[in-house]
Amino acid sequence: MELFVRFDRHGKILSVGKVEQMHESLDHPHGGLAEGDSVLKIRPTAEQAALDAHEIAVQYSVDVKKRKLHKKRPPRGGA
Amino acid sequence: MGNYSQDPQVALQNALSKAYTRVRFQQGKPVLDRELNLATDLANPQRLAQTYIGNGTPAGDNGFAISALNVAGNEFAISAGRALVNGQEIALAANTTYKTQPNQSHVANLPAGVSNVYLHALPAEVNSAQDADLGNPGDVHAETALREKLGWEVVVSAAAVNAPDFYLLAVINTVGAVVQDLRRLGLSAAAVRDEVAAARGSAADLGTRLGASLTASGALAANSVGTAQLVDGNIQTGKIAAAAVTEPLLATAAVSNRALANAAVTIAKMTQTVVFNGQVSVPAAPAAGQLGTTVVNLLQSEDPAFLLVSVHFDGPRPVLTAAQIFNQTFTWKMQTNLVKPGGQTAFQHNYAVVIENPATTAISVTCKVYRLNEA
Repeated sequence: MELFVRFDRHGKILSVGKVEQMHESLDHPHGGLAEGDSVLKIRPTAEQAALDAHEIAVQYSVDVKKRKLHKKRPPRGGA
Repeated sequence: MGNYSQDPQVALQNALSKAYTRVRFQQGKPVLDRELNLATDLANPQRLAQTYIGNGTPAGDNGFAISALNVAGNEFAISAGRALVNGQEIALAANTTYKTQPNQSHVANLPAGVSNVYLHALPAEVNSAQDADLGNPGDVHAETALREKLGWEVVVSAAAVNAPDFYLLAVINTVGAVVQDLRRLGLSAAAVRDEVAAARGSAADLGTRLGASLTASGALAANSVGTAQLVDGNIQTGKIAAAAVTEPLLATAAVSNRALANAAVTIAKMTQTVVFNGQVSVPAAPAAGQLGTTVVNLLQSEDPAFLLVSVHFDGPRPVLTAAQIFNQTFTWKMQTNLVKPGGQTAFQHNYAVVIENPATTAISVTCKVYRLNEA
């Protein structure tokens, strides 16, 4: 499995794809990239693999410079 | 029995047990009746015929055929002819019947049901009281040697009789008045030779003919049964082993729509390629009445793409009681774009799934897409 994370210039995750198989004609599955959007392709950690795609989008952001997923701090007052 | 110094049968068996084959007389020595009798008995072909030929009816003869069973009259017909019983030939000059045959000492009512009919050989000694010629009236006027003649009787027995002097002629059944001829016909080496020679086939000998299809043990030889030996329509499904019919043996176009069971063809049996299998997030709608949208690219191709698409809601799924009802909707649609990427001259079709989420919370859906091969 590979993670394809679409994010904006600020590192905000716009959508996440947890992909088992993909056509060889594609670099990533995300269509309709807007100006400034990018796609990060990584192998997920066990923690990330255990999450649903929308949960990754909520709980993580992208460190644009390092091009790595960065876990957000939980909001005050709990989840 | 005649007046013998030793019973001829006892003398014969005694000589045979000692492997004696001949009697040799010497000059100046007395001649004994037991030695004369033994000499003739050892030389008699009856013994060899009994041992090495057996009972039967000679080729070209219909002797002692049983027919015309009359159950009510306890009677049946016996045809004239010859038979070899216990090594000796029995001849019947004219047709007769069970109840009128020459010897009738065992004639009785026929047993009900199935019975065996035998020709019983009855050797008997004849003396001068029965045949005056044996009294030598022309010279010595006294009986010297006796004679042995062969009588016979056709007998009926419900029980089987296994003795060399009983020749099985037939089995009769008083129910339905049925006669089954069981004589061993054609009893001669020449007849057997002719029968073997005339056995089906043109090969020089019977062994060669049998060897064409049978092994030495009598089993069918390998590859001896071909299509020509099978009757049309003879092979039934019960005779075909499981998994015996494989794909190379099926003729092109042999399996029609009629031959396929309902629901027998799954996606896995179609020629297909998985072009996408993965979970994607769909963002929440910015506000009620609006949509959060995710586009999932599937493939780029200029050829037609026959796609089977499943979009499946994964979560979030709230924890609910059995009584609570849950219903959350999202929609999806196919989208095809004609694109020409920069730096290329060729156009491509971009096939994609557009997933729209009207809820104000993000969701995850699994999208699995097969592309079916057209040819």
